[in-house]
Amino acid sequence: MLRSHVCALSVGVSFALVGCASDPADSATLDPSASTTSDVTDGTTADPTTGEPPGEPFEPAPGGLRRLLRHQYVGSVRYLLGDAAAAAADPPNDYSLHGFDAIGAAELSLQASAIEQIETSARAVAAAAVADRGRLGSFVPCVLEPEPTDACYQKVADDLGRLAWRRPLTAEETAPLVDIAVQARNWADDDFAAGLQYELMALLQAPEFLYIVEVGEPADGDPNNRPLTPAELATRMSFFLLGRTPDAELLDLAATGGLASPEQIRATAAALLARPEARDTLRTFYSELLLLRDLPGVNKSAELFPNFTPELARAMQQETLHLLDDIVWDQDADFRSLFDADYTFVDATLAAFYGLPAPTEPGFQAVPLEPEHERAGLLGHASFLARLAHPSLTSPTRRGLFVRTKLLCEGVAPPPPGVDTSLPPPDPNKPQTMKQKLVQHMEDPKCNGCHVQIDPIGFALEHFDAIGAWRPNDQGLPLDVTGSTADLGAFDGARELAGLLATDERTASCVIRNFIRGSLGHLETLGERPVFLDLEDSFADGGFRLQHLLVELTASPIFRSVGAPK
Amino acid sequence: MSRFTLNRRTFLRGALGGAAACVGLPLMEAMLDNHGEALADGSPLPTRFMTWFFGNGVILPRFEPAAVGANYPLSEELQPLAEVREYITVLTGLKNRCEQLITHHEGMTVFNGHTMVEINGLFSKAGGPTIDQLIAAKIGKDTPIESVHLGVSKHLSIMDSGTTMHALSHKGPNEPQFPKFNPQEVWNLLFGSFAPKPDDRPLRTGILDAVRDQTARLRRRLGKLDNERLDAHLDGVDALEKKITAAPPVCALPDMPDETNTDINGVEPITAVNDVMSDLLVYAFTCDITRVASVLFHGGAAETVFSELGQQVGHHYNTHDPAAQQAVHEGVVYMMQRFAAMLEKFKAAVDVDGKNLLDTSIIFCSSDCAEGLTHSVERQPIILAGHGRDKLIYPGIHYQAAPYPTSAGNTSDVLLTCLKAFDPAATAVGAGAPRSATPLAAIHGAKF
Repeated sequence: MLRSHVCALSVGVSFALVGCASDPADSATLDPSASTTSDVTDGTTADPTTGEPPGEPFEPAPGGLRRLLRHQYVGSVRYLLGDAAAAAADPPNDYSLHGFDAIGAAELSLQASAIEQIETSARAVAAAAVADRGRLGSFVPCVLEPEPTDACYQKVADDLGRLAWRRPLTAEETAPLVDIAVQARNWADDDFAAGLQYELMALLQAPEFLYIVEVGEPADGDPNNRPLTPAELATRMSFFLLGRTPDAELLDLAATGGLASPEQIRATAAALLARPEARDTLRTFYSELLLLRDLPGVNKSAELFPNFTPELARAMQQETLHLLDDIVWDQDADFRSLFDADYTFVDATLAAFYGLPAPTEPGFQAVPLEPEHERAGLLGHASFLARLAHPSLTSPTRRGLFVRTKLLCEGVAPPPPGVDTSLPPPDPNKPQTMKQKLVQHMEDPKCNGCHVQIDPIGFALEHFDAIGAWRPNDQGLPLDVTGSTADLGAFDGARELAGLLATDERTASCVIRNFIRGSLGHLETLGERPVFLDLEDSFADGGFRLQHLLVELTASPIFRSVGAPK
Repeated sequence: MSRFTLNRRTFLRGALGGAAACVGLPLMEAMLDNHGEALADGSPLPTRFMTWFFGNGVILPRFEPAAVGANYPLSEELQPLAEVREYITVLTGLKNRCEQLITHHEGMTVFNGHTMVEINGLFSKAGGPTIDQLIAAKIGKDTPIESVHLGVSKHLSIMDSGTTMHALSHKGPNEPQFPKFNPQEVWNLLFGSFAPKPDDRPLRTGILDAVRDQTARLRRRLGKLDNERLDAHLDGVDALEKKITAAPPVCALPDMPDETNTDINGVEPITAVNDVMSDLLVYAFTCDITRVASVLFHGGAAETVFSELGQQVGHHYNTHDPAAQQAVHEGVVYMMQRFAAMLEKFKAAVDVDGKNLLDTSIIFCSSDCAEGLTHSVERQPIILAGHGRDKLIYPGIHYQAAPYPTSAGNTSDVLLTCLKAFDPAATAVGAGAPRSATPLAAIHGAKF
């Protein structure tokens, strides 16, 4: 793909995260944690108006520790110890930074109560795994024998330990685990099961289980460019694509040089994507990105929206996830149709909510969206429209800001100091629509630098109320759903906006950025830019298919290497 | 070694004989020395500290009392505190000197005297340790749990990100102490792990020893940031071992509450959760399980709706609507009622030496701005409840920094005063413009 000037500009600008308001200096530092490397994120190393300078070196983001996210912990426990153990798992909460739990897991420390919760969870998981030993026995058969000896504890440490810690354990590392098991067996009157339980507890409380370690080995003596070790790469691929610890086959493959070349990595990634866990992992990813997770718990006015029940909210979540599944897995189609699809998925609950014909069969079915529905793609989904609104009112600003930050990956500065963020007081004799209030607000020169970029996007969605239902007017006043921004141009309503967003080059770029942020756990750095541009091209060349992108991302140096540990 | 913690080697020899039974001895007899002026082991009587946060400020003309000094008249918004008013000192007119203004975040500087770091749009991290953690570092070693962090309304801001607006307590930029919003989880944290049956504590501490060794091997391969994270992890391991090996409390423990902080038909059970959390705090303090707490009652810029008032619109949204300022006022009164409900439980609770918990505690209460409409932090109000065994002034006063309306009075002076109540050697708190090296003499108590 020929890279256009606009595309290069958008990358340069976005990597430097230029704010829109009066004080861009505040928002110039993209990733402070990366500032210990030679990354300069204020744009001084690259001229954003001309794209990358010739010979710009690739420098990967810093390596180090990433704590297992809750779903990764549970997924790993399910793989290692079975469904009952997974049901008992209750690791510490995730806390996001920059909108992603993965970034929080790469930067934040655990507090004391979390360490206690790790112990509590390990105890519950281990008890369940010992009570139902089938899964564990598939890896370590001796636990199923009638009277196992202490030698079985060594087998658990070696064989399960390798899967849980994602690398072979040394004798120095297994000895304390076996010691704990033997002590527990003695403490419990020679009960093998007790020893097994405490050994599993020890394995699951180890930092080697709780944190993914990615430090690589320096290539050619360059401390800032360190290809991941084969076991680290297998681990990163497995968590990225399957949401869990790597299986024995993948670790074996890595250990025998099977992940050495990009072609080998692509083939392996494609094989992992064919597993059912890949779908679940992608659903988890987009549930976070698109704020679907807590939709059933959001506050909506019970007086205005008595129909906003948890059941309806769950149907809204499922609509978006069904469309995602359809585009990515069933059709393997251009991912950008997520933003402008002229069809969607509804069940009876949601069909009634949208005023669409009920599906002929139970569950969700695809239905066409006609122009008169004014919906197309994600921005017409009630999940998005309800989540990005207030309890009783719409919020063009929230909707627009989400499009800017999560779909276009742009940075937006906060309101300037001292600004009065209040909307004009209503005149009871002159009722105003939400748009009219905001337009008046936007006349303030301190505000309009940002709001002219944000609010018009939301104006196009004003036919959808605070829970995403279509409305003919706003408090009886006619709606004007036209708008324009300097970068997107003019649009009339949600469908035109959707079309503009789907074909905007920043949208495709942002799909990739979100995986770096939400899966690899860091804001993209300037040093990654040369390789990132290749990924953008590759995504386009592959017809913007997400499966293709995920494979290409795993084979990319961004994925395969890290910088000096942070 | 603290008095609740057995020497570890002693413990390993002796613990298998069975944990001490959890009996409901009256606290005073069990814990006090013969003169009633110290604990049985000779250590001083305990003093507690707590921060309490409510979001989006007040309405200053309806909050600030009309006169200063003792016997000040309670304002409309302070009226809910009438039952505990002798324990209430109100500070107004002080300036939060945070160096960066990004709306709401800067207000949190009132709890630590540090400007936020890594600011990026509506993202920031706390710039330094909050006052509760400074005090916990001084007195937390004396109890099984160093500090506990609770929240009441769980609908925090979805537009702000980072740690500043989502945790009230911080040890540093990457060490937020996130609150727990479910009373059952708080109960587990405070009371759930004492006197395990069967007693497997030597095995559990053995696992923790293994974790320490594993961590030591790991850290050599990592950089500065991750080593700091592993330090925090090891601090947590030490805290867990201390709790595991602590003697069970000698007071009767409460039953696990039924309340789980689940919304019903869109109504968040704020009053019920606040009441249960307050009860748990009273137990935790009077049993001396911890001496430091933070309560994030309601987040700044949060999504919370005060449905119990019949409101349909979020309190934060209301603060930005000039036509809704009466609803904002009612929200502030409602929050002060919840604060008062907790303080009244403290006043009714009998501490180890017969005093009430307001006599023996200091509670620091503030918000993330002075008024939500403007986000101003110029006159950011602070409420101090309790005098902490006469370290702070009693009966309480209204202190107003002069001149009106914009003084240079530093909110961090109040932080330093609180810190010195627990650590007389402390000389300063915070950094940069919000730093203070000048405690506020006007609120010193008889034994400061």
